[in-house]
Amino acid sequence: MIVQQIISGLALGCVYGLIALGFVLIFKATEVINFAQGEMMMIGAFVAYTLITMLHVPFVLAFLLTLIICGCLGIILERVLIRPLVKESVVSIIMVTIGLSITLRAFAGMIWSYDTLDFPHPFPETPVQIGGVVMAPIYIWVILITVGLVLLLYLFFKFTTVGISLQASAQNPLASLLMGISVKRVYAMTWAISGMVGAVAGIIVAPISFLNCNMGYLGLKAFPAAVIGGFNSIPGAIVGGVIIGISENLAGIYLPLWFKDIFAYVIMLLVLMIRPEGIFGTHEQKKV
Amino acid sequence: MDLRESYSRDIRIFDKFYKWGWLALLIAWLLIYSQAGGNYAAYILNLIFINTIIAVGLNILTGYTGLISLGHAAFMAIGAYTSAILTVKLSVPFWLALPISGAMAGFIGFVVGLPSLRLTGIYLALATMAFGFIVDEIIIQWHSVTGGAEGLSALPPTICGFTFDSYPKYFFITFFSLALVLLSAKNLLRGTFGRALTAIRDSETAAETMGVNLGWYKALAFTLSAVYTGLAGSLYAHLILFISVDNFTLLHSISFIVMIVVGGLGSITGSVMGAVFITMLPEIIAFSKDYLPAAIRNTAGLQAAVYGIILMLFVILQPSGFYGLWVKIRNWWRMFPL
Repeated sequence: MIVQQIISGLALGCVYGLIALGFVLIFKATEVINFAQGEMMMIGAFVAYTLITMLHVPFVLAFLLTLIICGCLGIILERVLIRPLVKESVVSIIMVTIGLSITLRAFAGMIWSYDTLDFPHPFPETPVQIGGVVMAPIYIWVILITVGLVLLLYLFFKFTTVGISLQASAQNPLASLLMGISVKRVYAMTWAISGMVGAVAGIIVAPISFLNCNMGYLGLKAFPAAVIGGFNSIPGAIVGGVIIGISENLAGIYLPLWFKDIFAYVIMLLVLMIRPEGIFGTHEQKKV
Repeated sequence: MDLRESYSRDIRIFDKFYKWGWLALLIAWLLIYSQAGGNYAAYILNLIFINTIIAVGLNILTGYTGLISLGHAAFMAIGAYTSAILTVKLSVPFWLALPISGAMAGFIGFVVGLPSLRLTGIYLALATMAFGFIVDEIIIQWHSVTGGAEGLSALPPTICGFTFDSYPKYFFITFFSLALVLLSAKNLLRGTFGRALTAIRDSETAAETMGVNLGWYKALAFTLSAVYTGLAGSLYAHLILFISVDNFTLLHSISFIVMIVVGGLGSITGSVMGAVFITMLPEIIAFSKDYLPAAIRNTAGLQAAVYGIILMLFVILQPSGFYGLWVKIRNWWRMFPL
C-alpha cells in the first residue's frame, strides 16, 4: 500500500518536476517566470490527442510532431509577448504570462470543448509485478521518460555548442553577446525547449490524470516543486517535484484527506520562509 | 501649458480648484442614477464601488510599493466571512462589523506582510498565491464556523433602525465607504507614507539609504491594502447576501490585478477607471455579442479570453493603463499644436 503510494507519488512528482523544469529553464536564462507553463502542458496534451485520435497518427510520430509544434509555439510566444518587455519589471512579465495562461485556457476550451476527454493509452495497461508490488506500467513509463529527458537535457547543456551558449548567456548576457552568441536566439531557444518539456509533461500526465482544458491548474502545483528545488536549478526542479509528489501522497494517508490538496503550498511557504533559494538554488546578490 | 510649480500644489487632492466642481456633478449624477435608474443599475454601481475599493487597496501594494499579490481574494474572503459571521451568528450590528472585518483582514495582512521583507518579485507572488489557496481550504474545512463548501448567508445591514434591503438603498453604504476609502488613500499617499512607498518601488536600496524603514513600510502597505480589501469583502457579503469560496478564487485575485493594470498602476484615478471598466466588461461583452461571429458568440470561454487578451495588450502596449492614456491625450491637447 505505502510502496504503491510512493511509486504513484513518484510518477506524479515526475510530472510536477517536468512542469517545474519548464519554469526553471526559462527563469535561469531570462529571469522571467512563465505562469502559463501549465497551459503549455495542456496544449501539448491536446495537440497529441488531436493527432492520435482524429488524424490517426501513430503514437511515436505524434509525440515528435507535438514536440515540434509546442517548440514553435514557445518561440512565437517569446517573440510576441516576452521580447517587447525585456527591460520591464518582474511584475509586468508576471502579469503578461498570467494573461497568456487565461487566454490559452479559454481558447483550448473553445477548440477542444470543456469536457474531459479520454486520452488513448499509449502503453500496455495490464499491471505488472515488480518485487511483490503491483503497479500500472504507465507509472514506470512516466518515471523512465522523465529520467531519459533529464539525461538528454544534461547532455545537451554539457556537450553541445548550443547548450553551452545557452548556459553562457544565462550567466552573463553581455559577455556572451560579446563572444558572438546571439542572445535573442538563445532566449527563443529556451522558450522552445521549455515548450517541448511542457508537451512531454502533458503527454505523460494525460493518461494518468485527465485531459481537460483546466489541467493547466496542475502547473500551479509545480510552483512549490520549483521553489523547493531552487528556482535556478535544473536537477532541483525534478527533485522538488518528486518531493512534492511523494509527500502529497503520504500526507493523503497519514493526515486528514483535505490536507493533501494544500500540503504542497504549506511546504512551499515553509521553504520560502526558511530558505527562499531552495535546496539546490544559489542566492544571487543583486547589484544596485 | 501650466505646470505644477510648488510642492503644496503637487500634493493637493485636486491640482486645480474647478475639479471639485466636476466631482460634485459626478456625485449628483450618481445619486440620481442610482435611485432612479432601476434595481440593476444600482446593483452594478454597488459592484463598481466595491471593486474600486479593492483596486485602490491593491494599487497601494502593487502600483505604489511594487509588491505583487496573487492572494487578494483571500483578504476579501476574510473580510466577507468575518462580517457575515459577526452579524448573523453573533448579532453584532453592521456598523461595527464593517470596521472589524477591515481590521481582521488588516491584521492577517500584517502577518502575511512580515515575510515580504525577504521575498520579492516572483517569490512574493507565489507566497501570496499559496496563502490564497490555504485560506480557501480553511474556509471549506472549518465547517462549524464558515458553513464549509455550502457557503454562508448574510443579512441586509440595518443602521439606526433603517434596513438597507434593496440595491438603491445599499448604494448609500457603498458610496460613503468608497468616499472614505478614496479620501483616506489619497491623504495617506500624498504624504510621507506615499512617498516612502514609491521610493521602495523605485529602488529599495536607495529608499533604505534615505532612511525609509523597508520592513515597516512594506508591512504597513500590506496591512493598509488588506484593510481596504477586507472592507470591500464585508460590503460585498452584505450586497449579494450569500457568500461561498467560489466568490474568492485565484481568478478573482487575477481579475483585481487586471483592474489595476488596465486602470493604471500607481494612481488612484487609475484604480477607479480600471474597476469601472472591468466591472462593466461583462455588460460590454453581452452588449457586443450581437456583432460577433456566430462561432465564438456563445462559447463559455469568451469572457475569460477577453480578460486575458486585454491584460496582455495593456501590459505590452499601454503599461500605464487608461490613466496614462488620459494624461497623454490631455497633455497633447494642452500643448497643441506643438
